[in-house]
Amino acid sequence: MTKAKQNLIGIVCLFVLILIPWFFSNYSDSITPELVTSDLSFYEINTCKLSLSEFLIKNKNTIYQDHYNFTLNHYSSMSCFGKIAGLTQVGQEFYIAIGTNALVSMLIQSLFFIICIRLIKPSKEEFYISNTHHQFSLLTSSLFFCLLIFSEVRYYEKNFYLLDLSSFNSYVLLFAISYLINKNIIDALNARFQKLINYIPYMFLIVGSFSGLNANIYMLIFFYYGCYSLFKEKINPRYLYSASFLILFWSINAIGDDFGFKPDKLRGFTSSYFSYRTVAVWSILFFGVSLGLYFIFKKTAKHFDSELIKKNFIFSTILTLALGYLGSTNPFIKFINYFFFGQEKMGTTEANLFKFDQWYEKMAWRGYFSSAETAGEFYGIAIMFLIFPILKYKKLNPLSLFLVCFPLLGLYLSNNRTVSILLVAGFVFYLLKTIDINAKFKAVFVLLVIISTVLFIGIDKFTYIYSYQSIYIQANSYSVEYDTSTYLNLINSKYGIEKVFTLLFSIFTFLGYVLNRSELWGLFFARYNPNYFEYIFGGGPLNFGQLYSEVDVKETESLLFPHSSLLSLIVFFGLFGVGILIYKLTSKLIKMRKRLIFEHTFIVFYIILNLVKSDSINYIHSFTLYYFLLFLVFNFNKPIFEDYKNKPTTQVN
Amino acid sequence: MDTKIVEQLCGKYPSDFKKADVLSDPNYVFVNDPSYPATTLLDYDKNIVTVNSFLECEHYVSGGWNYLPTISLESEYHLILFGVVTSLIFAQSIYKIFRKSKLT
Repeated sequence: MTKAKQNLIGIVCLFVLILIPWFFSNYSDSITPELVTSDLSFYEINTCKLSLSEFLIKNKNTIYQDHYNFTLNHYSSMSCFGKIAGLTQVGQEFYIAIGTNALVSMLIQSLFFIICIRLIKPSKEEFYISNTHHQFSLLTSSLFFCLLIFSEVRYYEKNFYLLDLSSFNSYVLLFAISYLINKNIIDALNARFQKLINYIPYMFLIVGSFSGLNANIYMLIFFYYGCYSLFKEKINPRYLYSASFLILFWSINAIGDDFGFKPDKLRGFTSSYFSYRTVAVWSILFFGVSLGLYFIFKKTAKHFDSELIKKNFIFSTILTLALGYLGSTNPFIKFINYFFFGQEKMGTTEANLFKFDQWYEKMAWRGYFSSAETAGEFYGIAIMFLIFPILKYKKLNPLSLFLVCFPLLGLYLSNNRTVSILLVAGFVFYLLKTIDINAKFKAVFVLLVIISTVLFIGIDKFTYIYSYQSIYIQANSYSVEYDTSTYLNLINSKYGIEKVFTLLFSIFTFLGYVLNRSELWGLFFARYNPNYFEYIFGGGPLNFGQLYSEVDVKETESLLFPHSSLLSLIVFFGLFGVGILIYKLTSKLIKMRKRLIFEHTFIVFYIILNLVKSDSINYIHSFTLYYFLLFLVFNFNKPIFEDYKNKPTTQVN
Repeated sequence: MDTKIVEQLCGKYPSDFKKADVLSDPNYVFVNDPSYPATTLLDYDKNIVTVNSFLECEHYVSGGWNYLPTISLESEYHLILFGVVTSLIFAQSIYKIFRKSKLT
């Protein structure tokens, strides 16, 4: 069978899978759907009796009218899957709850994912997998999945319908499901292993969070490869011991603590509780995932294909924009997006892409993504893959120029100004570096860029005293008298008294002020309450429970994340961990300074700056993409941004 | 008896609850509680009894009238799901072995 035929069958299967679950119903009963009006008694009486398709045929307007909202009822019976579990009205809005039993959803979502993977042509070179290690890794990752659920029982009690999580039998069922899913996904991936890294951009489209679970499909995959690597490859014992001791100490530190955290848009890559159990499990998970990613990158880096990844960036950009817009205007598509693509959070309901606030400032449109900021960063990287080759070969490629419009549109809609400024600066500096012009002219140009940056920030900001104090002021304004955090106490006792501390904190505050982070970072310091151990070594990775529940702060408009991966890392690994990370990165950069080409230096700078001002590291797709790009920069000897079609060919004599 | 099941079927335990001492008194008569809504209980054979007080309900549930149709139905679904999943794992493994032997 040809590849085109196989793809066609795959796409048909995907469509069938998208439709089938919503047709489950007892068609022999006499219950027929009614039109949705303010009298909802019919739907209150007949819960779980009508399939979603029956409902939609009768109420077609619910598909596209924006005052209808489809919600997922994870805590519903298996027999209620795909049926109308309830209908309520709040004001002018209608909420149609669809039964989506978490166990059935897991299987359907995984099947969708497997079909998507099978659309990729298998690699010519087969990846050798040792069967014993493969089986051990499958068993370990499936067991670990059960442990993950066991550690967060309170979260899952509300999502698994009548599944007694205190009974051993329930874990046997969960183990069997997880094993089946893992086995099939890994089999499909192993056949395409060499090519995998080129498909990373699709992680932003197929987000992979299981409906109703605080788990992500990629987490299972990477953890499997982490286990495989641990069993099969030689790993420096120094790293193993360090990780084991850290996990042990983090867990001991968490004994006696029990803080809840609603994962919200971080669902699938953050713990929902801070307790010794979750700290241990999520720490192991973090190291396992990191090891798995390292293993994949190491084994497949030589198969990195700049053309293919560029194509995949373009496809995912177009699809995220299209699905984001369709979802914002059609409640049913928004529901389908959320369920099948495993979004952490439903897409936006804002259908006006070009909305401005009362100060005529463009409002960020997050569309398909959970966060507009992450969307901007993703589109920024897509732009780099398209523009750098054009600048490099000074050859205008009309197709690339047309295609770059999509990520540019995405970037504009996301209103991520840091990325926009960074890209412009990067491309200008690149041109200055490559175009043969007078050094004096270059110096003048650099000076002009610096002056325009200062003007953009505003000269007054440099002299405005609040710019250097904003975080200190915001932290104190969010703090409550009876419960102040240890870090705020430290700031209050040293700020303005100790010169070095004041200077460093003022520089940090100015950066926060320029990046519009004063309030968020101030709020972070009002909450950050480490003991000595946590201050130095952190509280354990992927756990915000303690930060958000230990200290009371004044009410905020919503759950506000720190909007800084650097601050997240401080919570997770403490000053020592972050110090080591900065040291490693800096020493790598210094060591490679002569070999690093401009584009690579730029991408490192791009990642660092974005990590300082956004939560990206807490999303598994961004974490993977950034880790992958840094891996390529430091371990891959060829340029990342290439255009093989337009690359001048060298003649061999 | 698991108090969770009693609470699920009969409601919350009253603060002054004292278990009925039926065994020592064969002529024990349960007094109706007008504030307690009549509750229907089932045993495993789906026989029905209606109770009119928390005390009576607790007594019957402790004695085995604790069949919950929804829980049982869902447990059956879980069992079916487990059967399907394990059969799939088994079938796939057999198929893999068969294909491997055919190739060699």
